Amino acid sequence: MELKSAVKDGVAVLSIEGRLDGQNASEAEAAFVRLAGEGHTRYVLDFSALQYISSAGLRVVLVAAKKTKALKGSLICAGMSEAVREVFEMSGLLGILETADTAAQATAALAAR
Amino acid sequence: MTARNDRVDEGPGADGSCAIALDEGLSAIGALHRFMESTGERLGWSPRTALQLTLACEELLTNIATYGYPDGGEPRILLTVAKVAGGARLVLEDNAAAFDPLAKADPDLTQDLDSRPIGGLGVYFVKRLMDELEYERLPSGNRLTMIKYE
Repeated sequence: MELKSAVKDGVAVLSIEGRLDGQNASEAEAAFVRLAGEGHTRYVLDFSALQYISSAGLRVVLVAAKKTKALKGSLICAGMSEAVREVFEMSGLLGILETADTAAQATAALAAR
Repeated sequence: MTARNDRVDEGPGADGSCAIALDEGLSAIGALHRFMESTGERLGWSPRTALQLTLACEELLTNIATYGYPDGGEPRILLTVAKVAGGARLVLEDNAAAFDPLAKADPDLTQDLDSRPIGGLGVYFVKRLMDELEYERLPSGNRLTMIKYE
């Protein structure tokens, strides 16, 4: 797994690449917590280079979404591949998370809020 | 049957099966992924099947490692994969506390963000991803046999 974070137009973008699994989920969660510690309220989780996610990874996404809601902010999950989307679908989380096709679209939508 | 203390990927056994020891629990997830990738190539799984089987095994391994040894002890966790007509058979054996995943109730997936609990999806995924599941409690531990058809 590789993590990249950037801030664009006031929107914090965390890109999670490779495999988000039970062995590295805590590292991804720590990266989100660090970003949140910088005081952002608008987040994009960019999954466009994510190949695999397990329930440990979904847990990180759910924690991030709950934390963002507590901050009265917004979080968009962007760029899911078919394989990753299928796992989200199975978890029922697609119904309660905001998604976008690409990170650029998600960033633009959040920058306008 | 493969020796329980093998540390590395096995070549195909006499029946074409191969096995991996996952005693290291969460630290074995990377090795599990590599094993499933090479096994999938050898047995001709589609990428989707390979991913689904890997996911199911990771979820089970995470559960065993996280909840299976409340009193400590030395984990012995073995995954054996074999080809069966039209699909694959996976057998996961451990020496952990008794746990029948089939007896676990499915989570409520309709809750909103605030009330949605964190976790509780792993076993549900396994049930969704596999076509057949059989649980046995043996004197040595748990054995879960799973079949997935292509």
